[in-house]
Amino acid sequence: MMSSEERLHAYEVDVQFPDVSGMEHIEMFYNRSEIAKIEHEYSSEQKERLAKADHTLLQDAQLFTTALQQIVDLKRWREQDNAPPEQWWWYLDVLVSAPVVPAALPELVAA
Amino acid sequence: MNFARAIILVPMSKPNSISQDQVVAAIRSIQTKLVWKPNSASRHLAKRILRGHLTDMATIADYQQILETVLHGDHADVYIFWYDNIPYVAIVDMVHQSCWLVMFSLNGVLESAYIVERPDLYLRKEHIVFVDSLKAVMS
Repeated sequence: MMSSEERLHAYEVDVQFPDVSGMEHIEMFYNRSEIAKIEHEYSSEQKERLAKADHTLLQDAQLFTTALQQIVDLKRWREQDNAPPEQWWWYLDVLVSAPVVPAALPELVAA
Repeated sequence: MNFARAIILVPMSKPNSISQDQVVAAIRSIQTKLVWKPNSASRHLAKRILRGHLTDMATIADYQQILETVLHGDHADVYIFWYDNIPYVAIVDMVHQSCWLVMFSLNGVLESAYIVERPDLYLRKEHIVFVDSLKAVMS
């Protein structure tokens, strides 16, 4: 079991590699969902790092989605796991195809 | 458990199927030679190092040594992942107390090889079919 800091570090690394297999991105999403459970316990510095990593993921969403679409049916994964909409990372393909940035993510856009 | 060579692995809601012989041939191929997608090995290695799954000084040979361990593991299990009616073989085994997953296409080209934190959650999906232990599949 990873510590909260290890989870954050893993996420920070994972968002730097949009070009590896889409299967690994699924693992990243699971980790991000675990972070969502504990991020309220993060320090200000950790929250800032998390926001930065989220921003990177969103910024490169098209690249991540391209890798996912080569080997993963993301819709099927999120449906099987009942991923809630607030876990937006499970909907990266939807975000990519959206005409505007969702209002739920203003702080990420501003980051 | 021995498999009949003609056994068909059919995931739910999937029209396609593959034979045991195809799975065995893919595993034999990658056991004989690890083949990466063009220019992908260095990126996978870099990520594994940054994630701390390999030491800072690890080389592609070190990475591949772990994959070899998985691909010949006495306790390894074999799964089939389906995507868009295309099957991929995944071999999963514990190495140094971590669950490594090595995934490759039927023609023996590596898709990825990484540590799965929670294999039970990750592998229990309707489009992922557990086949058997590696030993049983290859016997």
